[in-house]
Amino acid sequence: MERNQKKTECQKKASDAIEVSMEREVDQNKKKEEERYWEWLCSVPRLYYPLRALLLEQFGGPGNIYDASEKALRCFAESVPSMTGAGNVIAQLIKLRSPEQIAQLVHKREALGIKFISREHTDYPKRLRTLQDAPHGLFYRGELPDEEHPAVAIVGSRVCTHYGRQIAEQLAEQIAFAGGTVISGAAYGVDGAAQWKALEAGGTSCAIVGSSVEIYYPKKHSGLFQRLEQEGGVISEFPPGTQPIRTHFPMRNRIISGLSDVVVVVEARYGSGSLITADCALEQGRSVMAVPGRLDDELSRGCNALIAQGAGVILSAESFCEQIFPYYRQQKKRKALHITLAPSEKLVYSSLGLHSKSLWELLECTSLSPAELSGCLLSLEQKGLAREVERNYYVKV
Amino acid sequence: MFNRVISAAVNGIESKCVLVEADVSDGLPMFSMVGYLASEVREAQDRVRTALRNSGYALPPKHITVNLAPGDIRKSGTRFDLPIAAAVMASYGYLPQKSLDGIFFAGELGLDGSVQGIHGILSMVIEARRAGCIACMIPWANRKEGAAVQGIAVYGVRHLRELEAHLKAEQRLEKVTINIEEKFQNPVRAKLLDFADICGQQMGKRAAEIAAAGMHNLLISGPPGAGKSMIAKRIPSILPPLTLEESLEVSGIHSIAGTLPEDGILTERPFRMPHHTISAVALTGGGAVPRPGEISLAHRGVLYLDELPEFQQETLEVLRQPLEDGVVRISRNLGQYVFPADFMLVASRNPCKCGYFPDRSRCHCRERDIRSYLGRISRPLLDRIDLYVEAEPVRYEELTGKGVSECSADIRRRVEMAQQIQQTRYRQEAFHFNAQLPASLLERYCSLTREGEAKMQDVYVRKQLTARSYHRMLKVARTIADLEGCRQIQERHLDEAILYRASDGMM
Repeated sequence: MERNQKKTECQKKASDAIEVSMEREVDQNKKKEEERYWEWLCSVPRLYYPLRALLLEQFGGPGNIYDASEKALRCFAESVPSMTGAGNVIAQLIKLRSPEQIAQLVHKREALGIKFISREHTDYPKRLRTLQDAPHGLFYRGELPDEEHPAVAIVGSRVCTHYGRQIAEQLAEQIAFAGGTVISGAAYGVDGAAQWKALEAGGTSCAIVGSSVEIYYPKKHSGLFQRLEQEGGVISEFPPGTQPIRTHFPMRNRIISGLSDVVVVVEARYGSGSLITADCALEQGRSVMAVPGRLDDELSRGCNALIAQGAGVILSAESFCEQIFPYYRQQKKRKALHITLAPSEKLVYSSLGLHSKSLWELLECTSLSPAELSGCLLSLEQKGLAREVERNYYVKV
Repeated sequence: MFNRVISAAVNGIESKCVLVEADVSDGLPMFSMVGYLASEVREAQDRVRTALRNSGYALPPKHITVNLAPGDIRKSGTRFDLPIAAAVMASYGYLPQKSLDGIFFAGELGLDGSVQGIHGILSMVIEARRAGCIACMIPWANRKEGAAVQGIAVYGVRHLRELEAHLKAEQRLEKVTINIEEKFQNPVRAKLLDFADICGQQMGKRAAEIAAAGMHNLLISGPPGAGKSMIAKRIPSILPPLTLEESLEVSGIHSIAGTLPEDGILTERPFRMPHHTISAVALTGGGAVPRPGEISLAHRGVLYLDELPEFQQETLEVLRQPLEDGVVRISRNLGQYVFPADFMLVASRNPCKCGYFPDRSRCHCRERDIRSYLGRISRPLLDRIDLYVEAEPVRYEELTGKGVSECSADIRRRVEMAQQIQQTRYRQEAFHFNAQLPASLLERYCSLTREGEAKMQDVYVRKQLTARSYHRMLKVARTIADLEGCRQIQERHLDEAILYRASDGMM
């Protein structure tokens, strides 16, 4: 009798265990399926965040949308007249509802080496999860930004001055040394410069792009994108095959600020896209810092305005990193070299600054002849004290 | 009665003697013309007949035959009116037959019998002299041009009546003479633009001086209103004046194009500034009857292409061969025409569409737009430009004229000296100027000191020069040294040459 009881108990336990593991398997399968539905929903062309959010609100989850009747979806499309083109998008969504289509989407994405992660996934970036308008899914190549270490967004004008470029590079370099991640948009100017420098300094960086991940935009930054895929990440909210359209860029700006802890605006005109990023950052509760510029500098107006509104001021890359990274220690400064300079070279060196100066400005400052000035600049360059950043424009190193 | 006079057909920039024969005989009254004629030559019969009648010569109805020999040269233009009229008049007996012997005729007729000016007189008179004519009867409007040719009597005719009076020795026309030697010894250069007018632009002016000294091609880049065109337009004023031989050569081309000045012959180096909408044919020359284009009109002078990126790409491509060879060859099924085109190319451009790059506070152009704007100039063309200079924005103090600028005459003295040095140095070679130095001879003529070589090695790496741009820099340094009268290129010459380097960075 007892033996029998024991036996049944053992059997019960065993069956329980099987049940648990079965449950887990079922659970995992369910999750996988759910993830597929999410990917499907995120891959509908021209279905952007706001409309997708409304859909989810109405139907509950991506699976429900998948299973919803055509009539219900069409009714929904008619119920949101404020969304222009909703009807077409929904029609497309209806067309895409088949297991083959989903399999095709996944296959296409995987063939391009792109990974997908939905908002429900455990590995979804924590920084984004808390946002109100967190993207429902992310397509990415490489890795998502590190959660352990601070991430800093460096944004600014596409047409930047040498000053802006230099500051962006200095910041990126120090952040890389401190172990942080540089987040940006891989555009021309400040963005690209910062990301290149971060990679070159041995750090990591993530680009959030306004097209799909496999389309390199701008094309000239293909090299940067390829390195980012290896050493950092390229992230997008948009499904494979999406072209870079103007309207995509403000949308991706919220992800740039969302993925970072601090947003640094290096150079921005009044009303530039970088200021949109700063606004998003403020809404998301991120701290915003700006690089101050001269009052009359068109490209510093935006930054100075941010400072006036209460943004933090960047005094130097080092002091900034000390604030952000608890274990940051300043790099040992290079020992001051004792280089003897000829009097005219000294004169030229003292006229140079961080802001690039043109040859004719230097001619006026030094009242040397062009040939003499050129000779001095060449020897300063040779000694590593000056640099020609653009033809006929020089800065101090 | 049959009569024959001498005229000439223009072929490219050269003329060929043409015999104009007229025969008046009994038969059905008609005027027939033969001899491989273009339609405008055929129209001469109406002009000649009406002009003769309106001048008071009755033409009784007879069979008039006019032949232009040799028959295998295509005759075009309106220059045969006067010779045809003279031959017909002689055949009708209005002119003594003998009076036409050894006389050259060219000119267009108006219906009232007046003689109109034509193009190409200079080369025709030269051809007449070669053919052994003793006198030339040419339109009054072209008399000074014709008189520039020495060793032949030249008469300017205003009307057919004058011609008759002269040939009948009733009232001789006055021989036109120009003392051409004197004209070249005491040139009047007052009208030329002067470098003293330019405020500031220290480097731009210096680049122009170097370019002129070594006959280097020059590219000026800069924002609008910085004075790029001002510099370019003043370059002829610092080039050495034309010699007599050069002048005749250049005037011959301009004579055919009809762009000679009133007083007959060019004494100043030509400066041509075609608009950027120019076609390839207008630039190089061509057409059914090939005529010289802008590059030939700029022969021995300056061709200035303002707003270089705005020119059509195909138009600029055709410049490559003339820049290399100094001549342009145009092939037609009737033969090849060779027009001289040895000019100095000066070009200007804005650094971007709006013109303010790299001043980022004013330039809003996108990186891609700037690239595509500058990319419109083809690489092979840029490879033929030795000097590159950026025009600086003009400051107020310079504008208001504080500080005195050097005048063109002083600069020209230096340029002439530098060219003299080059002339002497290259007397064994097939070329005359530093710009034409082939790469194979660079080592021989542009050797560097030890320090200079070390410097160039550093510059080569630092400024990312290519072999081509390195060679061009050496040539420019050679010219700078010549301007100073130095045999050896010193470090300071290299320093200056680096300022004007035409590197790939100018893209």
